[in-house]
Amino acid sequence: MDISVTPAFASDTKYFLPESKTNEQRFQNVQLRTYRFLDVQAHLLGEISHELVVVQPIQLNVEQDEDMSYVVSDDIFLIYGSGKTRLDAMREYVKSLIEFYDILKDAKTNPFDIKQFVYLQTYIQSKLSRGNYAVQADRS
Amino acid sequence: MPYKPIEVEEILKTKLNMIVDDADHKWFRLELDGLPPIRTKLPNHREDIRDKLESRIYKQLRIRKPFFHGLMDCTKYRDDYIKQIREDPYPPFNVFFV
Repeated sequence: MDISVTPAFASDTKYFLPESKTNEQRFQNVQLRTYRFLDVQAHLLGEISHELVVVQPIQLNVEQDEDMSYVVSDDIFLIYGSGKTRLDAMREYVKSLIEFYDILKDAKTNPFDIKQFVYLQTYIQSKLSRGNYAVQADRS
Repeated sequence: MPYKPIEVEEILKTKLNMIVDDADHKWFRLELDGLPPIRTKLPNHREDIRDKLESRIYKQLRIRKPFFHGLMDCTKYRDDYIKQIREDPYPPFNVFFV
């Protein structure tokens, strides 16, 4: 299970099992598709949980700290994950991204949160809502 | 001298009065009138926060490194932070609210 190193501009599908005490079922068999452009950047695309899918690539920064740990982050939503390995950091990033999605989804009173959630949904969508859109599209 | 997550947590809670959004995952939130909520998440480990990781935390707080260190080292206070966020947030909010 290695999230790293696919040939430049090539696509590859990787699988990993993020560790989560609270959402073990939810994170099982998570599928990630990465597109590696530079040594320090990758793109996240595809299923990130049983419920959520990244529909527009999110560019990720992959950096190594002085203690040799890794930090994976994005410059759009300012989410990060850290870990002793690149894979651990990627897992943490995805967990944080999902948490961020859930926080914004539940934050229904602040207009800025609503606006940001709309923007977030241009990158991440629930499979359920995508299915509903498909049904609505079929009916129209 | 690197800071530890618990030291940053203390500053977020006591100095900035940030609210814990999600206790399990260490998300903190600060809401100011007329501005998008500021959210940050701290790592779960207890080890020192190194440069790259630290930079992601102060970016989430919309401030630069010297200001973050000012908060941590008690040369900057909540009013300074609020003024900074209102006058010169970095990264600016509009970049992320297209």
